[in-house]
Amino acid sequence: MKRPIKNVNLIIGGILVLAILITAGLSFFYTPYDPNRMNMGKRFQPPGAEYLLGTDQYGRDILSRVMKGAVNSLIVGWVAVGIGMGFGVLLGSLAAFWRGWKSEGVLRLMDVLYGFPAVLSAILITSILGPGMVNSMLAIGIFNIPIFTRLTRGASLSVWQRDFVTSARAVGQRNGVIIWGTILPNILSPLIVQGTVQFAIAILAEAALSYLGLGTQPPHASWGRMLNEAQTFMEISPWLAIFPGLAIAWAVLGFNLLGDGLRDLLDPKLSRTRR
Amino acid sequence: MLLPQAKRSSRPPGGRSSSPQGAPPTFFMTPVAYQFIKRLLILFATLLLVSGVIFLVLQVIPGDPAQIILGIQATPENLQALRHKLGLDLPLPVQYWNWMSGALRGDLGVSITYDVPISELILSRLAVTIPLALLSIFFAVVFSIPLGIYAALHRNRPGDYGVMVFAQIGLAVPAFWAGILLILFFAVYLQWFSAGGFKSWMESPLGALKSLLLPALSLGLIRAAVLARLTRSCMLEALGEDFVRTARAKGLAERVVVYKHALRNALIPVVTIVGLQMGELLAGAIVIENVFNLPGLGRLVFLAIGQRDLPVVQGVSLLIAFFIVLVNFAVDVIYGVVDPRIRAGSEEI
Amino acid sequence: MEIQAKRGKWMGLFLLFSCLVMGGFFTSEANAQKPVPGGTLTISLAAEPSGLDPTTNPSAAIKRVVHYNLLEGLLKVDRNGRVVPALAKSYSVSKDGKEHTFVLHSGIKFHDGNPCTAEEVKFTFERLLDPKTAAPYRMYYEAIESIQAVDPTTVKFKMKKVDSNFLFNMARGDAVIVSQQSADRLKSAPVGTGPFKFVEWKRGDSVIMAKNPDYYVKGLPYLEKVTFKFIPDPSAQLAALRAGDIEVIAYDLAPENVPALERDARFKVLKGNTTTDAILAMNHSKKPFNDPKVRQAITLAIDRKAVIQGAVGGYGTPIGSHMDPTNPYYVDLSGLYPYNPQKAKQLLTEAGYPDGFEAILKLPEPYAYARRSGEIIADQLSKVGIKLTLEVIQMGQWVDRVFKNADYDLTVMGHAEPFDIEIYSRPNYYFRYNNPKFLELIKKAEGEMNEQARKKIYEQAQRMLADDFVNVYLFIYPALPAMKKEVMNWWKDYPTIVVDAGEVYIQK
Repeated sequence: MKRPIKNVNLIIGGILVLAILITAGLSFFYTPYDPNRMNMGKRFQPPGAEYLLGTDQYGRDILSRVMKGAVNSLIVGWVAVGIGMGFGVLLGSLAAFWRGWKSEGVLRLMDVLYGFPAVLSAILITSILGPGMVNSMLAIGIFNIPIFTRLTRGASLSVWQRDFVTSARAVGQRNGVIIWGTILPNILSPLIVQGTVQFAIAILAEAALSYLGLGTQPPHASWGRMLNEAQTFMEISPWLAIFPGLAIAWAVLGFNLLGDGLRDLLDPKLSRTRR
Repeated sequence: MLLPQAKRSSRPPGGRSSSPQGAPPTFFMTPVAYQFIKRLLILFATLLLVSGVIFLVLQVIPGDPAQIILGIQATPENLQALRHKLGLDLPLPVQYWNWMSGALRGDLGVSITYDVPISELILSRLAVTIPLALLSIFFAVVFSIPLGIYAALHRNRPGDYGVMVFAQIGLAVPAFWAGILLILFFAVYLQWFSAGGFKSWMESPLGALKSLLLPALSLGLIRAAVLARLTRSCMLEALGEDFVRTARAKGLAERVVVYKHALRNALIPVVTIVGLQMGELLAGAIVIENVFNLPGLGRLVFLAIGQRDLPVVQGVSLLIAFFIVLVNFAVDVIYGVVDPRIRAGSEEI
Repeated sequence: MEIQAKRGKWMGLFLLFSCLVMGGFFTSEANAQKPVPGGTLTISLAAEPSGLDPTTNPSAAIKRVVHYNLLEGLLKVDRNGRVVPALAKSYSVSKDGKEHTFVLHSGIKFHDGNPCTAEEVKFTFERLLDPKTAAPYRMYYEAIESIQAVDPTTVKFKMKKVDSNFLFNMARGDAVIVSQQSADRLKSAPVGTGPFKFVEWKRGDSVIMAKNPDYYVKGLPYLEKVTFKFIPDPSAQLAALRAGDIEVIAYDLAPENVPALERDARFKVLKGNTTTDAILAMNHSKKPFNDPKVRQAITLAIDRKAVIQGAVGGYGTPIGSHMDPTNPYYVDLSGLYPYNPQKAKQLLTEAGYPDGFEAILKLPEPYAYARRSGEIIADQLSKVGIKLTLEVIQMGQWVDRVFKNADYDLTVMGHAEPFDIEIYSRPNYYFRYNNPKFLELIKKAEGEMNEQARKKIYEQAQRMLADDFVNVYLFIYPALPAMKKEVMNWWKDYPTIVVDAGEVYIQK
């Protein structure tokens, strides 16, 4: 393992992500104002002492809404990546295990789903199921499955070839036990790294879906949706468009750097050409 | 462009399947030809599968198109008559067959909302989306390649770090926010551009180009971040190769070594990735078209979904899916032909 | 003698000069007032119609393009909300109220050259009443028993019963006079008698019309060409106006953009009323909305001023019942039940909901003012304990679930049809409000020919709706037509669903 001190990505990423987590956690106990409470007398306030980041078109405090938006993004990220990883690892393990045409079939299917633009599939899925937070989690989760399937399959395959697995099989250990006990622990590193990276992607996807009106519905705060509402009122108050976007970039940057840092930490082999 | 902006590992072109250990029967053809035909068959199967999935998925969307067209006052007889006219009362496989055979002939049906042939609609929208995509790629390439080369040449020095920071920021910024910020600065504040909308090519070619500038910039800059990193790593890889050492040993000028030899090799995987990520470019275009209110393909499909205009959604989804599958296929084939050696290096992004 | 002559010459010159100056002054003044013929106008509308026949499709989008411009009726509603003659030069009604006679102008021609006579009027209404035509608003004309073409310019309508709304209905968009020759083409290339004739419909883009040189009103229209351009996004419309691509935004200017536009010296914004009553509709067939106390509580918990501010930038007029101020029978009841959240809470407790209750508010996606009103209402109602979940649904779903099947708790919608208070007399309308007393009132009004008496009855009707808290009456959607300063004679209010370019001219 590399000395973490040289791992800038990990440190910066870690700090950014920690900030998001703390903000989100804090929002359960305290926000400067009720994020959904409207105040028509205080619309479009610029950032100042009374409202740190200003207010929106209904007089709601932007800082409080950004904090709640963090919770929204994190939950969607967790569930979506969870779905993707859960089903993906399952399918991928099976695919690695089966070989032959079944394995090829799964792979081909995943390729098809993988190639289709994720936004379009997410839009289609949310338009079938209807807009909303839960459905967008499902939609994003679904397009995460192919990614984890391929990753698991690829990584599992190489582990299957290893000596200790061959000997385990020779000894007569059941395949299920092998997969669970030996294969999976050995592919944990790439899974964690990819999971972190996909988390960042999920946050971006949720923001895009909410921007298009397909994600989290009003009045709940969602960074993407806040940007959508901000666009209508840009001439009156540019602040509305800046802070939610900044939050998205912060979160995605944090998780991306964290992912890179974890990759360097856990498996230097994966980053052979980069440093 | 927002979704998998780069972190997807590039599809290892060529032998991604793990089976070709044993040599397939090659009575009458060369291994290359066999591979090609196999890939072709897979292509058809994929296209079939994709079209089937699109068709089925969209049948599930609630909302009766006949009701929507005829409105509140429609009598059940009128509704039934229209459903019959639209062919909605036929069994699913028959509907699918009608649709696909028509599509192959270029007839994608008629839009429910506009009452115009869908192929016409799509063509008019392509006149916006294709230039947008091309302009985006142009910006992406123009920004990323020089930056990537610079970073590779100044490895681990401030210049390199600067480029890497740019790349990381580009990955983190959602393209639609970039678009909004550009509007805020260039349209609202400076008033150099309008905040959206599209002047048709007929009316004013220059005006049309101007309407595409900010959108293409939003998409392009974000992609540039991804490509800059890729260019950098490919250049580094190429510079570390034997043939570069040989060239240097031969006494060639550094510039020649870098640009003529290393770059050329480095660009191959870069170009490949650009091709493979056309799908994501289109996806990004959908959102950007909504930000800037451009009458392109993305906005068409988005509005059509909202209006439950099923034939349009089906047609456009099919088109996009086919396009992506075909591009991937072409890239695979070309790649396999061009240089199997570099396959390994492009696993990395 | 010489000096005098010289002075005379100067005097003469001076007089001549001043006369010329004054004359010039006066003529230019006169020119400034007089409409100038010529010019083209491009008008933006958000919703593109799905066809151009207003008689078979209830969509307002159609009427906005064709009514008054391409197709006209016997009567029309003018810019001040009054029913005035159009194709009919004059009209009269028999003493018993069961016979209406219209005299047409002479020499009216359809755009294809065919004359518009009493026969065509007869054909129009027989077609409208024919079940096969499936006219959506057939009920407005059901009182007609027969139509007689007495002579080429006189038409007599024999009625089954007295219908006091008959004249108003004759001014509606579905009562436009069409020609036998061209009725089948109405949907895609309408032929009418209007000041403009149809030229082209570029699907997905625009409808183009040109001046009708044979229009029966001499001197009109002023414009040479009118184009309706369909731009769904209000901010795109604004961008187009600023860029000079269009000259007028007819309906869809987002209220928050008014100040910025007014600051721009090139443009002006007229501020008036439409006939769209924005209401919070409550489903009387669902608990707890069948309880008048609950409905009253909801009404008192809503601060109309705040809703108007947040939803339409402060430009809407608050209302207290289902009628708009341009209607001659309107009575202002907006102050009858003012904002009082404490009383609302009290009422809820009395009704058995001390902790409030939960409900779903369905909002139509295409209408920003409805969505925003919904969001603000949800916030206000939460203050008295009523927790609303917002559901934004597509228009098709709204028509299907809310309008047809009354599958909703609450919804916000704008009712654009003018003078549609009679919808409350229909128990199957989506409010599911069933009040025999109200039905009685409406029937009485329809049978009452005396104007004063009618006014009294309609006032009673409005009060009944307010006192029964049938729905929460929020505001009238503002008319905010925005245009270049040189565009003159545009309607400030829209007392009916129409975008009339017939008298518009462009000042040079």
